[in-house]
Amino acid sequence: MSQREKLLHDLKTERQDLTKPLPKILIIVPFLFFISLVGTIFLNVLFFLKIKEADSLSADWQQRAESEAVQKIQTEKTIDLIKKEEQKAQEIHKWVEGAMQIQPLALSVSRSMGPKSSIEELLLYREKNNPNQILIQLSFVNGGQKQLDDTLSAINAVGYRAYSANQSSEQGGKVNYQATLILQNNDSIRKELTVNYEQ
Amino acid sequence: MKLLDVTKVLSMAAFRPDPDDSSFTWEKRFKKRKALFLSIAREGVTWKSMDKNGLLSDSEFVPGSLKDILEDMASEFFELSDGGWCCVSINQRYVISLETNLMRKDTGFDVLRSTPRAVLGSKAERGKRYSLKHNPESNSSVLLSVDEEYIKEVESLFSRFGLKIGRICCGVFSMLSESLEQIEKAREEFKNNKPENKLGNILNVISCYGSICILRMEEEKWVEMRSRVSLHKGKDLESLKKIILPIVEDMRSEDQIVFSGDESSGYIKEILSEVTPDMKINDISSVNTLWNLMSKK
Repeated sequence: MSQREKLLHDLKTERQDLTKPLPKILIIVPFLFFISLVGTIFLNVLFFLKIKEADSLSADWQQRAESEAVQKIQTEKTIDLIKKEEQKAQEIHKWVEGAMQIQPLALSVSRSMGPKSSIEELLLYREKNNPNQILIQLSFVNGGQKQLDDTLSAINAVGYRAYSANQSSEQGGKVNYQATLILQNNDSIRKELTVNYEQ
Repeated sequence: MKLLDVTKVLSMAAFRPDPDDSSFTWEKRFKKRKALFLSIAREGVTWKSMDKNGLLSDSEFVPGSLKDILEDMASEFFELSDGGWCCVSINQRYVISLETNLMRKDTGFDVLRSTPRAVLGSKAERGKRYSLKHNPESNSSVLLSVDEEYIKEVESLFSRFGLKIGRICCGVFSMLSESLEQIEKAREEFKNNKPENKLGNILNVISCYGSICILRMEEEKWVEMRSRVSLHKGKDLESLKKIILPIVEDMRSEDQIVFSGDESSGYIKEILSEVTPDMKINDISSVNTLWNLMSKK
């Protein structure tokens, strides 16, 4: 029995624009459409959330970058300060290193001073071109020649010999002494320095 | 491509047959949809509605002309169906006749509707719509012819009240066709059992809301047919007997009656028992015989 015979007869006026249903296989088209629609909505929502998250992160990072920049400026300022301090320290270090040979000399001069004598002026000058020679200008009051001899003895004790000495006395017991000191023995300086460090 | 076409594809409607596409069964056309079934007779209209699950409601009857009934009840009918789609069974202004030697090529309904002359030859008339039920065992056929004017009148009336017609059929012819198919099937099963006795002749009696159709069969052959309309509700029993008596005169006690009728056709069965007390009556009718046919096929 064919499919047609199973149908009930129909006497109505048939519509001319009647169309047959589409093949069942094509039902995949609307299904794909709806799946893609759902996918599009899902991806849009996902992208929207991700964009919001990225915006938030970007703002966060921007804020962090700004705070880092401020911190960097502060750090740079600190570094500048430290560099300046370091420069100063290096200068002091250089001065200390440079003045190392003069220190025992200055120390021996100041120690040689008797209880009644006092130094008014002490100048120790070393030339760049000739660092072994030190120009000494000493002014002290009270003590007279004896004090000067004691001081010169103390200078000799740390290894220096005085040449081209020039001495003058003024009223009030003031003695001006000027000479060029030449280093004779480094060991005595080193020994003097070691003793100072130990003390 | 129109927007409507796209909408139909996306709503999956393009993959379902149109509600008025007669090349599909009603069940396929109205899957998960409400529909209304009406049986129109001269005395009034009987209807049943089908819900989305395919369940039929109790039948209701309103006496009067179709026009008056539609004027009163069109809005109710519209609510009982999705989109106002109805299946109409007509029980008047038709003729069922027994014909022989009709063309039996696989012409189908379409050719019979568009060019009935190609199928019916000289028997085709202008202004008629036809349907056929062939006897596979002989050259006889049952021919239904309905006035085209009447069908158009029904269509125009329904259209005027906003109702749409998915099918117009003739209730008696539908039940007769179904009954003949069942008899044919039963006969095949009987033959397969290789019985010693013959099946005998069969009198096929169809009653549908006041219309009656009787087909007498001798073995596989269809030999005589009588059809009348408007013998409603047992009021005109004498007329009914006048139709039945001549046709059962020649039948023997070993012959059988196959009866199929609507829920109000019990009185016809009683008359048959009365006029043919010795014959076996096989009642194949059910409460929803016609409605099941309309809602399933």
